[in-house]
Amino acid sequence: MLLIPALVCLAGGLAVPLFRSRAGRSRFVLLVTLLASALLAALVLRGDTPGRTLLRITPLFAVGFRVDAVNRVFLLLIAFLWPLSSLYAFEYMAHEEREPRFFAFYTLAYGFTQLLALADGLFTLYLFYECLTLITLPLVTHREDGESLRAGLNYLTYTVGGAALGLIALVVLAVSGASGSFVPGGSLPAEALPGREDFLRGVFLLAFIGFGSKAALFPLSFWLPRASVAPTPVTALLHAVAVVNAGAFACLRLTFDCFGASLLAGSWAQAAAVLLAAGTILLGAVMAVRERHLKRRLAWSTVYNLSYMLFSVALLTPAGLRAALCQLVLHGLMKISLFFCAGAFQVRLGAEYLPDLRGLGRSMPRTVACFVLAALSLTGIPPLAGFLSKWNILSAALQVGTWAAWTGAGAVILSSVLACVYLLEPAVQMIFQHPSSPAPRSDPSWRMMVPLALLALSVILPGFWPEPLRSLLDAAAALY
Amino acid sequence: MDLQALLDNRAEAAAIILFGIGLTTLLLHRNLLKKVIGFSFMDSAIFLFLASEGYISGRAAPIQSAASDLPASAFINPLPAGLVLTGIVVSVSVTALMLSLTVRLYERFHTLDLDRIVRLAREDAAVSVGAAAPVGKAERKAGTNADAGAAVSAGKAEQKSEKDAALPDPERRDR
Amino acid sequence: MPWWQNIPFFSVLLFLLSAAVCSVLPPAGARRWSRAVLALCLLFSGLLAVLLLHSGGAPVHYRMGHFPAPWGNELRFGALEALLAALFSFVMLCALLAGGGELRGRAGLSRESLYHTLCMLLMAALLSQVYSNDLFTCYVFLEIMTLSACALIVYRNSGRSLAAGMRYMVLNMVGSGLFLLGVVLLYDLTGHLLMEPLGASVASLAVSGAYRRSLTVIIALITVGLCVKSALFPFHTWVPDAYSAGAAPSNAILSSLVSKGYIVLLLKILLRVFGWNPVVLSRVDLLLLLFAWSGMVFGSLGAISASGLTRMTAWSSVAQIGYIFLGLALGPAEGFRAALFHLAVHACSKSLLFLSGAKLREAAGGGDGFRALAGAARLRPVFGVCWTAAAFSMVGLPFTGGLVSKLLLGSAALGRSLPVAAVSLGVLALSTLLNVRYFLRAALILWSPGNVASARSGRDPAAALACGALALAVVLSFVFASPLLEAVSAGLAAF
Repeated sequence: MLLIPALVCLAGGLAVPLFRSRAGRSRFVLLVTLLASALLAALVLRGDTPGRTLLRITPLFAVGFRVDAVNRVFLLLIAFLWPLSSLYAFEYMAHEEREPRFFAFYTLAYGFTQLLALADGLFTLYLFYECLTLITLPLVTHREDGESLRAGLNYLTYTVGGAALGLIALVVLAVSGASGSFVPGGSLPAEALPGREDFLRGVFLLAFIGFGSKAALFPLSFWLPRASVAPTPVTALLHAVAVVNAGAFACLRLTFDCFGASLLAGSWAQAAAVLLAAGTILLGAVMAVRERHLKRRLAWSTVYNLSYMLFSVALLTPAGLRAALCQLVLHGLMKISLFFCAGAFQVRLGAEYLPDLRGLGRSMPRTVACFVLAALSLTGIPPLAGFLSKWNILSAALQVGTWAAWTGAGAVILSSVLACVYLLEPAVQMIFQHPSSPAPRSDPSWRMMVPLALLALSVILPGFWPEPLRSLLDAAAALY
Repeated sequence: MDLQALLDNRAEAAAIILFGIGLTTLLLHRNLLKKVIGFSFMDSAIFLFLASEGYISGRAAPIQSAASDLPASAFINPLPAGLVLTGIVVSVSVTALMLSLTVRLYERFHTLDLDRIVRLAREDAAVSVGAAAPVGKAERKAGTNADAGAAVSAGKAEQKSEKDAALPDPERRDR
Repeated sequence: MPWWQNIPFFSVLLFLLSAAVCSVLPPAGARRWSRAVLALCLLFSGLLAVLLLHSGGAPVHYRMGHFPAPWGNELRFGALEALLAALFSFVMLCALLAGGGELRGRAGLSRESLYHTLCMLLMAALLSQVYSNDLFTCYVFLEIMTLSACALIVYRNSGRSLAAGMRYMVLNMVGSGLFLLGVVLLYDLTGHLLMEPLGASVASLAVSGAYRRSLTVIIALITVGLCVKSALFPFHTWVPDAYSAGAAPSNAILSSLVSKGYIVLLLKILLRVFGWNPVVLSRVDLLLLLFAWSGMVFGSLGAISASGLTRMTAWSSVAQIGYIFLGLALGPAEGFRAALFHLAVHACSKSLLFLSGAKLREAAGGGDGFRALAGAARLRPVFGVCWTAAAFSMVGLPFTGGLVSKLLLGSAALGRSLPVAAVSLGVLALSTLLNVRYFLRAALILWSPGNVASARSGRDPAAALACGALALAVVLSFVFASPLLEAVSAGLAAF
């Protein structure tokens, strides 16, 4: 029952190459994603479903799925964003070759992301985590030139290699007697702990780094900017939302539902995780300021925004979990709009580097408006969405109040200052500078504008009407 | 470890020494014929060991005739001898195979030095990769066209090489 | 005695007879004959495994000749042996089906019968290793296996394959020599050749503490001898040539059957003859661990720097043998179970890599270099998919048996002391990373655009069927891991 939307996506993805005409294919893909999203939303909002085992691989490892307050947030986010970005992709991909393949894998990736989010137990999570890596590989190497192939191999090395570290944790947990499914507060039985705490903490840290590789945690963060050679819908949806959030989500599950906060709180492993996240925040912000290529700059921005999430997770408090989920949703919305705008610039005017953006405000006013709105939000200007999430993160950090948390909070503030530099610089260039050559009005068609407008709305809305989001987050935080 | 023990077990000691000689010759000597000889040494040493262990002084050969009804304890155990015989058969067939390989290798490379043979064989393979490309059915069917096909595919490979140079880690040789 | 207890003996006999028959049949006849015999053996071995599993799992002793247990020769089999026999016949059948085209093309018409003769002989030797309970019989068939394997390598009769065959012979003879010496010393010490009386004597020796040094030497000789023959890491130097110089089916058979035969024999000796405690006392298990760890790393490093697809696959065998030996070194029950499971997974996936790789190479014009192979998978998508599935299994990605064996190895490692467990897990993770670097790189190259025009579009339904069956086996070993593992555990208990 839980798997129907995912199976719809998988079947739909496999059926995509059967359609010969562009129009038919677009309609089909849109239908499949909309149907899957509607089903998914209905299923998820219906209420919690306890974990159910589908297939037992060995006595210790089994495949099972569940819905609870935590993955509900993630599932609703992707259910909202996937149809929108499919719509956007129809227009964008008209400029690229090999469309059928692209949409097939794009739809398949939707299915696997759902399965990953629905996973009950680290083993299932691991399975679909790897599947998601593999299924998005053809999307990264879509151009099929040397650069994208190298980026693809790079991506694989980082994420599969990282997942191998996760595998260690998976085995250690299973052998230590942890229950196969997720348990809020930690699945390790109390009798497994005495005398082995430090070993388990070390394994936790390795797995945190390993699963963090997909969320571009330092030292495994360098694949993400390189992977922005992929077409924009991929960069936007997968490398700003689905795949990277899957990494952060895996870290969250690993921390709160497997090892448990009580084992880790106040330990060296927590401090190390927090410091890694803080270091990634600074690294990403500084690299974003230095980068002149718009999409890569945004990718670096993604790197450190993901570490906001990992930082909040590593705080190990319910407030931290709440902040992480809030950032997961809001950052996804903001970053996908920024990437969509960047993709629109690239497709309409071939503008990839910062100097190309001068005076775009005249030729593409609506797109630029969306870009500026999202940029302001991401820097954390108060009424907009980004402010909410930063507020949550900082207040969670101050509640914890250890020196590591203070360091992380400092990194968050510093990165916000840097965000003003690297996000507002292109915004100012677009609005206030004159174009090098005057271009005609070239806002994209409705297929790109509708998603952009909806996303802009969703960036504004949480600031004024936070109740739905707050209730979702509160339900998740109440579990712990 | 006194000398007496060594003297008592002289057959075993000799067998182990011979085994060592054979093993080192087989492993370290570059000449193929010497290698085969080393192998024979090694196996013979084991058979010597087995035979000397199987023999018990003062007992008869295990041949029972209708006339004598001696108890079993009067005979030596026939099994080690049987094992030696079996082992010799195996050893002979291995020697035969190795010698026939040696002959073939000598015919092809005109040397018995295994290191040189391996080196020559690699160069051989590197040269023949292009020429031997179209194999099997096509070769027989197409007859003289095979060469043309090889030339075409070689040309294509050259054209491709520029584009493929961009692939991750272009091929390297392991030696 | 129920009729089905005759199956092991008759399958060995059938293969020996088939070897003689195939040598006089014309090629087409030999081909059909060998396929039929293999299919028959697969069917009956599977049946035997099912029957043995259902009859309570007690092993069966099958007396050969007129002499009872401590003197005579006998076969001994439980469910595990039957499963292994079925696995080996399956892989061999697939190798012959998929490599049929290459064999027909490569050598003259008269020689293909000989190839089938060799395969039959090899199967007879392999099955005797699996079933026999007599150490010397095992030795004899070990040599028969080595000889026929060497003949399979040099079947191509090219300079390279001859040189590879010679190197193979030299190192394998070293291994056989050490093994034989160990067997003879053991016979000298105990006076037995049948494994169970041997095991009882060794156990009493171990308890009394007599001959401890000799016992250690014997354990080391036998283990190292079999390690050399199955190409564990420091003894692997012959592997890259031997596994890549022959025809595709030869490579597949050598890497996935012959080396496995030696491993099964080693496992049998470790379990039945030595028992685990003397092995631990003699520290041979630590030696094996060390070899296995370094093999997993250095085999992969060799594969990364290999120059062509076949050579890369051959190098990866060194790493994968390391996985199997890691399981062996981790000790009874869990470790052995992991080793056996990985043995089966590796037999299927490695032969699939060689067979489908050969098809891809053929489609791309015959070159083995990665440049020449760019885009080959697009020319033959069926074989491309099969190759990719096998490569995924090698890396240990989801929905392939490789992941299960990695999980099993990891769990088994955690049963040991903390340093051993930590290093084993670390090496597993590192080896995964290295495997990504070469297998997935090769997969990317195979699927990347390039070389699009193909001279031929030869269809080979038999090969597609065989590769498909192997790929299915790789996937099903993940899905049905649970019942498979139960069967393996039950068989291991009666091994």
